[in-house]
Amino acid sequence: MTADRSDVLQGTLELLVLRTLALEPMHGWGLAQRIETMSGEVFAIQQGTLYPALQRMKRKGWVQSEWRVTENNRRARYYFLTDLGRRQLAAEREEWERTVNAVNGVLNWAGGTK
Amino acid sequence: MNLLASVVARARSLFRRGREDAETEDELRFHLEMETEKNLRAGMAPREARRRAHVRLGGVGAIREGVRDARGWRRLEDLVRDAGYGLRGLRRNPGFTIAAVVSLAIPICFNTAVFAIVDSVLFGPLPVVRPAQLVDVYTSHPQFGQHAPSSYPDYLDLRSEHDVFTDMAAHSPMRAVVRVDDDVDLVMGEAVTGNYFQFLGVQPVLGRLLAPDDDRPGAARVAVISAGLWAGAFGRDPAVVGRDLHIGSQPYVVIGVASPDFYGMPPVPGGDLWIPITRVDDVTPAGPSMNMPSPGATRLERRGQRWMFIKGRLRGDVGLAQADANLDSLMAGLAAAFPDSNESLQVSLTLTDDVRLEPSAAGPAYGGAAAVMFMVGVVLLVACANVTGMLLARAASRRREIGVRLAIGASRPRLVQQLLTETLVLSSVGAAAGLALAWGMLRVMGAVESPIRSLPYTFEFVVDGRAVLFTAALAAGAGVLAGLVPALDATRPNLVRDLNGAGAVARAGGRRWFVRDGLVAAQLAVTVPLLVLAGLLGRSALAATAGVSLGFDPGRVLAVGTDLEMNGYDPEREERFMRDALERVRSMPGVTAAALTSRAPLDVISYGTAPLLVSGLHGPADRGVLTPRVAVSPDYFETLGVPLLQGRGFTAADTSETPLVAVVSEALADRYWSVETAVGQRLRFGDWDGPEYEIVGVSADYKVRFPTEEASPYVHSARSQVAVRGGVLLARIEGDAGAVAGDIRRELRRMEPDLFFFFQGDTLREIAGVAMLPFRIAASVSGAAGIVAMLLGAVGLYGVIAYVVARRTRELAIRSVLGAHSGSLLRLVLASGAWVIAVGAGVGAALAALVARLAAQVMPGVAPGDPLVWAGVLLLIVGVTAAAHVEPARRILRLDLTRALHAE
Repeated sequence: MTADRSDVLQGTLELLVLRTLALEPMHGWGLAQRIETMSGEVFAIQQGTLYPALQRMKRKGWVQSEWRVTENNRRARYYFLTDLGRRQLAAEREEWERTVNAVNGVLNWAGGTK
Repeated sequence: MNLLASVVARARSLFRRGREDAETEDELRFHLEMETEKNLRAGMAPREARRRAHVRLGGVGAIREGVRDARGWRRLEDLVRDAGYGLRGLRRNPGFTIAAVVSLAIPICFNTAVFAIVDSVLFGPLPVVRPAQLVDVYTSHPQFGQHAPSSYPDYLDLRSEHDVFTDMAAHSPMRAVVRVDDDVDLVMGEAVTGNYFQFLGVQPVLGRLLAPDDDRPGAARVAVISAGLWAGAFGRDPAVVGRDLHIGSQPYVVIGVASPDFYGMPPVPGGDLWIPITRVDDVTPAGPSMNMPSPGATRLERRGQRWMFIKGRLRGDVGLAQADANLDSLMAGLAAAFPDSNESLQVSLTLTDDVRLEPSAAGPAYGGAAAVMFMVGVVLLVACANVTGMLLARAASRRREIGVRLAIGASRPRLVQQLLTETLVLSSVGAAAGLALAWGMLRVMGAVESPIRSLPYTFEFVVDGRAVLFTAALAAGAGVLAGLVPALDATRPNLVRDLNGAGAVARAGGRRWFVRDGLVAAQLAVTVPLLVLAGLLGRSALAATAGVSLGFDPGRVLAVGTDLEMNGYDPEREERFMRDALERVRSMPGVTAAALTSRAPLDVISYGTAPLLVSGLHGPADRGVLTPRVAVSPDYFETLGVPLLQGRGFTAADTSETPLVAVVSEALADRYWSVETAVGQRLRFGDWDGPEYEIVGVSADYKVRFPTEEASPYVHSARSQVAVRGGVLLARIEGDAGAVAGDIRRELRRMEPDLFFFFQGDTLREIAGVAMLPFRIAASVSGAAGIVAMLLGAVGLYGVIAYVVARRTRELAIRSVLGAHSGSLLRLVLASGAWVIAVGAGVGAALAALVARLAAQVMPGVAPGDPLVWAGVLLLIVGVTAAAHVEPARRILRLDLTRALHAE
């Protein structure tokens, strides 16, 4: 597709899913759309990787799923965060910010000759 | 219950698998529909919209697999599917399946049965409460060793003064003539302290067990019986409690039946009867004993008479070393207080769990168990090699199937897993069959009576949970071992070759061929040592019973053993009986000589030693050298046929009124003097203050303990001059031993109807046979292992040769058309098998030589170079390998040229 889109960083997919599901329960396709929109169309989700990831997170107890009816009256599997998932989100978010700050620190120091 | 629950859970997850797959399917369909609609809204044509949606999502199949993996059941699902696949494959190839299953089932049966026996005797949990706390307290003697028995007075003192155990108890193995109604039988059992059962935590199934009050002086004569004796002698009478039981001549009351899994305690386990230790004089001790001079009228009072085993239960806060130190100091006190009976004695403590057998028997037992386990393990390895060979041959015909699967993207680990699962299914079926066989085998063995009449142990071994676990482990190990190489080999990817069927043929002359050759050679290499070992052991067992070098002719001497003390005879009455019996037997037709002896030569059970002191050589401070001795009547040497080298034998003139006399064996004479100078020397038994014997004769050496022993020192004294009771009647016979033995038994029963015979007219050859029982068992086990290994090897060899013939059929046909004789074709094929046999047999012979030398070191009397054995094994190998060639050779001779050339 377009050249300026990046693949989702390895390992961050779960963080993105947790963050997105924190807004409201949604189905797999909706999740994919929302992540792309929220990332300003930067992340092109490999949609196929979403489902195994959801299954993994389900096994870890971070998300739950149930079959519901959509606004258009179709059956879809909706995913929502559990309490464990919410705690995981907070933890991963903190970790992410620490990483970003650290990386920024390195980048700024290297570039800022003053 | 646990197993059931896990099976249910697994089954449920497999049901769920279908449903979850369907849900994933629905979910992905919904996704595609939504994406397609979005693309439509963006203005794409319907077909393009659908295509784009599929591209963005990715392959539905791969996603479904990914989801399945993420669910975490992947492994199990695959396993179940592979197992089903494997089972179907096995059903399609019944010939291969049966051959492989049988190959595995027989060795697994051996392994399971041997494990069940070894485990229950040497390693299984003791049938008591908290066995890890139990400690054996042995007397330690500079000569008798670290594991000597103890005396009752020592036990009482240790028990009242120790500071490390919650309690102590003692027990002594015994045997007794037991009469229930009119049936007389000999029963093994234990005389035990009253607290024994409480101390161990054993429960009754009926009535009560012995209690501390039961061994107080003057308490009633009571007995506890085993579940086995209850079933055997009392027909499971529910009202057995309170019934009478005669032990010797004494009436006892049965007070209870012990728990069925309780069989007495190490180091001499096995028993069906328990009486209070204070009644030990009613029965005959059956364990090791050690005697030092000490005052007292009964064995309970004599501190120097050591005949029982002491156990302690460690207090929670006490370790073995602390207990050892505590008891050692107590024993040192006893040694100071009673120097005659206790000087230089110490205690030695061992965890009961570590002492499963009387230490003199434990070494051979553990060694023998390890050797037998090793042998049956080798046979299983051979079987695995065989199955590997079969799988390799079979893989050749499956190459195309596997090549296709690799080509369409199955991963190699996944295929290896599948092939291994098939082998595991195979080995599991084999193991199940082996388990059933072992169960049957042990049942049959349980019905076999003890070969030693004077030790009527019953052996009941069962395939318990531990044995089942062991078998399951064997199945897993055998499956992986046999299947790994073929699985790796079969999945080595080479598309061009595999999809092009002819490639497989070209390859047949290559590396896989080599693997099969190596396997067959290896099988031969382990078969030869097993067969040689079996032959050598069998020969030495035979030599023992054939009387080659015993010093007497065992087939011409009968032994009749009785113990009238067990029938309540007093010494005088017993002595009258014995003399009367001797006179009657001596005058019977077929008997040329007869004598009485306190022990029959080669009877391992009654072998006993005492310290020997030689006048002029030893002084009052010496402890003497433990030497075996025997008390015999006149005519003993004539009856045995052992010549006297010097001096005279015993005569009727040697009585309690005349000086004490002794006849020593050549080996003993040589130890201190010489054959020529021994007569006239003097010796003592026991202690320096004891009576002195004058040597009046030197006998030729003869085997007294084992047929395979080195010449053994032996001291004979006159039965009329020493206080011995009962004993064995030896009769030298002519003609049919069985008939004469029957006559003797009838004659003696006329004198005493309740007589129990330890030896009921067995020849000394049969008695020697009992001594050689371990050799015979070892020989038959290694023989059976060797035969099975050899047959498996023959099957493997046949496979290799048949494979060569099949693969080279076309080539052979062409040669035949070009004018080759069938004889030269035959040579061509035979040559391909010959070097396999030569290498295998050569390596096997080298190994066998090593094993034989080792065996000769462990077991006296094994001649490692026995030419008969080696020639026999060679002949057997040649015969069997020749037989393996017959069928392939016939195929060559009947080669159908037209068909062979058109086949491919």
